[in-house]
Amino acid sequence: MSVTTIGIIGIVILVILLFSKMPVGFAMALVGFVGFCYVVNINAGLSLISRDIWESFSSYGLTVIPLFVFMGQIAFQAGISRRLYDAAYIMFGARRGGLAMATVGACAGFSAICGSTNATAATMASVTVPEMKRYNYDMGLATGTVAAAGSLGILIPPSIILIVYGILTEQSIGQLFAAGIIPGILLGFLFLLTIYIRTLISPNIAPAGEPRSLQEKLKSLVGVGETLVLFILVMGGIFLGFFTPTEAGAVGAFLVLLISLVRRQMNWKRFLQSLADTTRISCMVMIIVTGAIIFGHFMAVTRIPYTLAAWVTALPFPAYFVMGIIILIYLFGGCFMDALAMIMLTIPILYPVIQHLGFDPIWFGVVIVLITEMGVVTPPVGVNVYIVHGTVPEVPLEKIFRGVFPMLLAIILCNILLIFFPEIVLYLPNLLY
Amino acid sequence: MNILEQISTRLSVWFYYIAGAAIVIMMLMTTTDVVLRFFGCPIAGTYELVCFFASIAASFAIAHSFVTKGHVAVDLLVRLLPLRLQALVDSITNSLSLFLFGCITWQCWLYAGELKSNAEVSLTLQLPFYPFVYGVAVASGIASLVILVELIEKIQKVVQK
Repeated sequence: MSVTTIGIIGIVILVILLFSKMPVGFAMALVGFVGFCYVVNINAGLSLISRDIWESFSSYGLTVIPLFVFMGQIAFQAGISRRLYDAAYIMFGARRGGLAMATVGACAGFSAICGSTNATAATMASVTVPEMKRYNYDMGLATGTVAAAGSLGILIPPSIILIVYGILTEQSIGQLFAAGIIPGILLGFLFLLTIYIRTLISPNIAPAGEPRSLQEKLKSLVGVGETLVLFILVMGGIFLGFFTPTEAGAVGAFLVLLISLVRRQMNWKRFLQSLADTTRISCMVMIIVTGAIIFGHFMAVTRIPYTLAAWVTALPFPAYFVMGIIILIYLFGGCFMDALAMIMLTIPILYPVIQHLGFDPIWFGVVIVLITEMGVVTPPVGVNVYIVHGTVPEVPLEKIFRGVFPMLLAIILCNILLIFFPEIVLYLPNLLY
Repeated sequence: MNILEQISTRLSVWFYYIAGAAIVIMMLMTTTDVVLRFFGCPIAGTYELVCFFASIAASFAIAHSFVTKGHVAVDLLVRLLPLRLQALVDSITNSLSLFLFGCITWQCWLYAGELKSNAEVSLTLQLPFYPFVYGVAVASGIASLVILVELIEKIQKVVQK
């Protein structure tokens, strides 16, 4: 049996294990380990597993994960979302659809300190949906907006998925963070536009609120101040080379904690809750990354990624056609699988293809992250939709999925723009690095 | 069986606390280092210590995350099966996970011994690596234990009348 055949069998077994509900990280580690034993020899496989695990658990690159997760979780527990929403609400509230627009704005703000789309959707849903309900907003619009706007969490830095992508492909996390900013803002504007158009078509779904004076509006900006300062300090520190991403995560987490203590919005119980969630999420992410590394070493000895890359490059199709197929794979996979898991699973196989075809790895990272994240709001496993449903159980799932649909169009439009105008992604990283 | 479950759950929770503490220490130490660096006197060896604590943070939480279903898994298809068949599939994947973590425990233990006899130390602080690798081994051992407990549970469900 050729090593390529063994590699393909390995991939098939991996897919079977995944659909048998085996934890994704475990399945990748197991197939990688057993496959490596089979292709090379048992002793090599056994020593590979201990070394890969130790090296990835203790690598400085991965230390960034728990710290940024911690920063987001403390912000989640500390009610920062509330203040962001209050500010956005005073700014936009008087317009038709203003509360939904405020939700998008607050999600964008919260994304700037939290790297997870799920946490963003969860914290924002509990704050914004009751308000929109109070002002007789259509619940489909309200819940759909918050579920979709949560996806800003992965584009606007910090972003846990971009961190992990950077680690696995050895790309600079600073550059990836910079690359997410403009697409994140663009997507935010597309969401606002979508809400505006929807309220033009059916004005009753989002009645206007009471007007606010300019003075009130200016005053409300204070609530945004701390988030802005945090973002500038943490991201600015990375971009200027003053911090490593790990240091930025640590300082960010510490500052959020300090702010929430000063504002008396943190107590021992909330702190422990944020720590418990951080520990669980970080462990989950580290296990998936480590599994992907072990699986990647197996793939490397089967030479499948290189064979595939050479084969694809030799195909009589233009590179963009191949990229189109890869995008379809992610689109499809993202519907069934957690975005992080999907990306970790495919990067060891597909990354060499991307390099061979001459696409920019930073651009590719941002595009596939946004594509797989569409899965968080599409059936059957739209995690964000379930999260929003969890906070407002009286709104049926179908209604949320329907409410998300127009927002999904905005995400698709954003993706098309990113694909055809890579400068949107690459302008900032090229400027800064 | 009950005792085994109690012991493994308790151990996994203790280790989970240690993992959480490691994250807090990482945050405090790194922040202090950054602040002191600003005044020109950084803490030597922060880099190494943070890496060591990260290895504790990751490995010590595996068992508890397994117990609380914190690891990402795709249950789309299995969910559709009858309950007993679900238990059968779970017992197969649990056996495989047990095999994996058994090997990890064993190999990390050996690797730690190897590092100990070679007296390998970190660059700046000259700290030995091996105690942390033993830590990863023990943590994987506890993960194996909780997986074993769940495996037994699932097998009981399969054979149950």
